[in-house]
Amino acid sequence: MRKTGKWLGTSAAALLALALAVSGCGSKSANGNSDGNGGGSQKEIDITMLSSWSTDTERGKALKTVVDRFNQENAGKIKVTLDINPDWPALQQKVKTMIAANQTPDIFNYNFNPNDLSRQKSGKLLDFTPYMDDAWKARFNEQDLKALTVDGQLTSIPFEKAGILFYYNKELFDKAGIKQFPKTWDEFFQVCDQLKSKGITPISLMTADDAWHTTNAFTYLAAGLAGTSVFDPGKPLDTPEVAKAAEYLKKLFNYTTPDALGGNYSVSSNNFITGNTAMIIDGPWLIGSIPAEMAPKIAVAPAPTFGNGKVKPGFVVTDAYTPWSAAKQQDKTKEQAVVQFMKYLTSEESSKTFTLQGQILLSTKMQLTEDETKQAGPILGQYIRTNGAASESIVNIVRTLKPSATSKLPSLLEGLALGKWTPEEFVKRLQAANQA
Amino acid sequence: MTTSRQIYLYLAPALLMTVVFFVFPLIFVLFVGLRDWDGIGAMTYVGLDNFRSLFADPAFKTAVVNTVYWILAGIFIHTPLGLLLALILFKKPAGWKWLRTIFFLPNVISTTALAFLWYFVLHVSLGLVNNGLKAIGLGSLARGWLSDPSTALYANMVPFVLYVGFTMVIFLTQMSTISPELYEAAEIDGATGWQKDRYITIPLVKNAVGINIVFNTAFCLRMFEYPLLMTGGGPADSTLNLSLYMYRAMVTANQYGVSMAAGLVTVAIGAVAMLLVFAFIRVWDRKR
Repeated sequence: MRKTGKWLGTSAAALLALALAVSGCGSKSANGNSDGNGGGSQKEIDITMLSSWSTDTERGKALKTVVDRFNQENAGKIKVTLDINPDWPALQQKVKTMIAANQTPDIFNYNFNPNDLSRQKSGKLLDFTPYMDDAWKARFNEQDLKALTVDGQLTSIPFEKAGILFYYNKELFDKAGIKQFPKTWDEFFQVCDQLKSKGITPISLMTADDAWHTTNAFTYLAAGLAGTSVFDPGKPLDTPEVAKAAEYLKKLFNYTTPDALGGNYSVSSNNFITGNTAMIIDGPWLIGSIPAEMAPKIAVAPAPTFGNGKVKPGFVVTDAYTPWSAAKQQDKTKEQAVVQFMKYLTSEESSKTFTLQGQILLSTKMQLTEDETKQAGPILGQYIRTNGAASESIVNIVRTLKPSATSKLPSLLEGLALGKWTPEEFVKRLQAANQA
Repeated sequence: MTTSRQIYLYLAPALLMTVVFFVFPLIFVLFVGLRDWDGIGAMTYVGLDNFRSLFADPAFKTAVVNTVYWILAGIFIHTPLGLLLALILFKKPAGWKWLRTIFFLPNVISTTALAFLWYFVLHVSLGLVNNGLKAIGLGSLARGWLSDPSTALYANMVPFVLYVGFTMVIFLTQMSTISPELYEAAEIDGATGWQKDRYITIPLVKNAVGINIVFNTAFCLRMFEYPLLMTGGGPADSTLNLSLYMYRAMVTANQYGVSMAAGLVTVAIGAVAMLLVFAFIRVWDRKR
């Protein structure tokens, strides 16, 4: 029986490898098949970097700029090639399959989730700890490095960690006679009523995929009621505070578009950037999608609070850490080349390129002058200032749930919005799914 | 003269392909179905736990029921519509060749494109249906066809039910084999058009009925694009079917074992559905 299992396991690995070969995502860049580069040879070292940032986006252009600059500086020695797949979930699946088939990509990024450490525990990722000298360490916050260290190994390099803020349409606010962005949730719901009475849909929400805009609201509500540690790993989700947050979230569904149920990110964000809704809760990447004629009407603001002292005003919900990881290399020279590139990627110069050109906020430390902030444009400049003033933060709930709960989240949120279950039932179901 | 050796020789490639691409994957599915696996780490043998968690999951029950609804829609709406269209075109009305091509055209367009097309046709605010209803003064009937749990499943089925071109062509092909003399004799006896359909055409295309039911049942068991792209299985799992359940379990929840167990249940349901279809055809055959 054990023999049969072993045979089937080997066959499964062979099938995976065959599937990868057929889909064209294996061989050249795979760590397991070192082509003998380095080891004293003068041959150029090829590194393949998997990313979802296509070059028709601001961040994709910034990444290409940085990679091109690195290749130019290391011409004839190291060549980094970008392998772009704009479909983020498909890319993540591909990475997982490659790791399982022992063909871990040279470099890739992913959403770090403390409840899903399958990549780190695969034993196939490069440990950067021996290379983390003082100069490189100084580029990061101690807290970020600590968060990404698993079993004493730093297999992920902190990179993107964007704060999520409230965008609002000043013109629509003016139309409804609203002078400033609300500071408390009570004021927020009054503003929603005012907007609605003028025929303006207050907020963009969505429930498909990771229900991103909706879970941003939910995380802000829950943290506002119970503090920024509300979703810390190991803490139950079916608490009275989280149930209360679900109750507020249900109320929020009364102020959204009819296509929010089942709508995905593009439906929800399009509703905002075309002026169909007055508010959206999103990251800095939205800025690149705002049309030039719409940009002067848009402003950003920190979230309201409940005024109960559980969180400090100006606190932010953030996206997950989206760090870079690399394959464990058999070839030491290639390993050093990967580290050299990662240091370049997280340098002050590259960080500025990513923030100012790519409109993304990073974990790496960076000093921007007033001129540089202005150069970023009115929305991003305001975004950087508001995000930088945040006194504390919490990662969006969807980035900390177990995959089993993430898969159930859309239907749970839709059930809540449709009144299929009460807020208490909603959090109980979410907790149960998170235990599976 | 063909020897049994030659028969085995001719069958060998097909047999080999079946073993490599069906039997072995099926064994692998069973192997993983009995294990806990997140797609990266080591597999752990868990016996029938994956099947237990499947049957305890209300979403799985919904997926099974919805898949059965899809099959029923295929058998009782899609197939009869295809037959009706074939009966009309078989009478060769003016422009019937054009109509045949137009009806068949959706079958060569990707299901993904059709799913997006119908997503916008049925969209709550941008959709042709709701705006059409408003334009003719029936705005009160407008609704979120895809976001209302009471209509979403049926809205999902609309493109499948309407695009009957392939089914129609199978019926037409079978109808073209019917001897014209039968119709001439019926006409001499004074049979009406309906009587000719009822007593000659329909009984003589029963083989095509069987083939269409088998094809449509298999298509409905594999149905994936419409629920994924039009509603994502929602709202609140109301349009979830077995294919989408398997996809979610594997890709989003990283529960490869559960996904494979669901796959095996789908195979079993498919086998039962096919047995019922063949039993129905046999009973129909005997009745005649």
